[in-house]
Amino acid sequence: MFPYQYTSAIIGIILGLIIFFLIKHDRLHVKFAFFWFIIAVAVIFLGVFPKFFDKIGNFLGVSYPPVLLLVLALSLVLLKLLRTDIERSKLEQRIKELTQRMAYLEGIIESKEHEKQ
Amino acid sequence: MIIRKSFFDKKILIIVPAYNEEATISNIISLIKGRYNLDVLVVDDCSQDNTRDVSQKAGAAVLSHCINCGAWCAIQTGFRYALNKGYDIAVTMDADGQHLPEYIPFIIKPLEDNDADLTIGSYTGRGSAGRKFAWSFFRIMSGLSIMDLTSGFRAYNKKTFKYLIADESLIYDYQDIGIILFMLRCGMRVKEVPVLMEPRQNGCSRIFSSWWNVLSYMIDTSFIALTKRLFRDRRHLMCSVNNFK
Repeated sequence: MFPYQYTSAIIGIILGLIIFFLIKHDRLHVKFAFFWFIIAVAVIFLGVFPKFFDKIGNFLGVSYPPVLLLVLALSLVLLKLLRTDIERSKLEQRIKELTQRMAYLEGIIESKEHEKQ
Repeated sequence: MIIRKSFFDKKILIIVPAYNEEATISNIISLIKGRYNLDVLVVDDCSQDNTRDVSQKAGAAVLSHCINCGAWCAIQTGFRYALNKGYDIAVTMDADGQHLPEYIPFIIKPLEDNDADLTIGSYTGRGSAGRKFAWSFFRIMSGLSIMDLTSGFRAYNKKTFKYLIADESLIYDYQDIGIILFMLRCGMRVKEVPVLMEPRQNGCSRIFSSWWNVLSYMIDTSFIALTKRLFRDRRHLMCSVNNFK
């Protein structure tokens, strides 16, 4: 049977490499890239050393350590979603403001052109 | 109502947000210009028809959005214009013919008398049973005593302009409860003025156009009413009704 450690290591390394690739080719803004860089390192580390979580789980008194990983991962995903929505709200505000300013400036340009004619 | 001289002394801008309103917009502009010769600004929210050209021909100044971003966003563009051009008062009116220009002096009067910073032209005789239920529900949720919470026929004085284009006001989609609560939070005084309105001449309400839109609007507005109520200054809670004389 294929050892579990190999499976988790392969998944972790592939996911990590995809993230590194995206960061390297500037597909992620710096402020998001740092978060994903940490995630990539963590995913590779935990993929290669899956037993690490068992030790943390035992230390924290969690009877079934993989649950700890799921809870932490889910919390992180929720936090990330929250942050994404905050960013999206900000972007929407900026788009509205830009639309309003652009309409106003276009109005000024048009009235100046009318004056020239 | 006898129109006072001060009405003509003030620099007043009528802001009409418009989206595909070519059928009615010309008539609205002509009525306003014919009756009071006020400056009219049409903010064309990326219409696909000839709203822009029709408005310009009717004598209005026109600003056009390059993307459709909603009625409140269009009204805010109007406030930016009003602020930059030094207007004293801005009146918002719908482009569908519901709001009657003859009531402009009525809703402006409390601003001239310095009794309010924002007035709402209120007509509770309009609307279906569903709309009236929605108003009652929102009144309970928000704690406001204003009868017509969704009226777009409003007048704002100069003091309010800077708040109305602030970042905080960009999160809203409609000129309704959220804006009233926001104005109260900014320390502005709100008054309701009874007016008459006509049935809509063209199209239908964007909010009440489908059950899904109604549900979505109810959820969003209830949430705004409830959350903003929790965080607002209780001193500004009560809004009085100013009967027209």
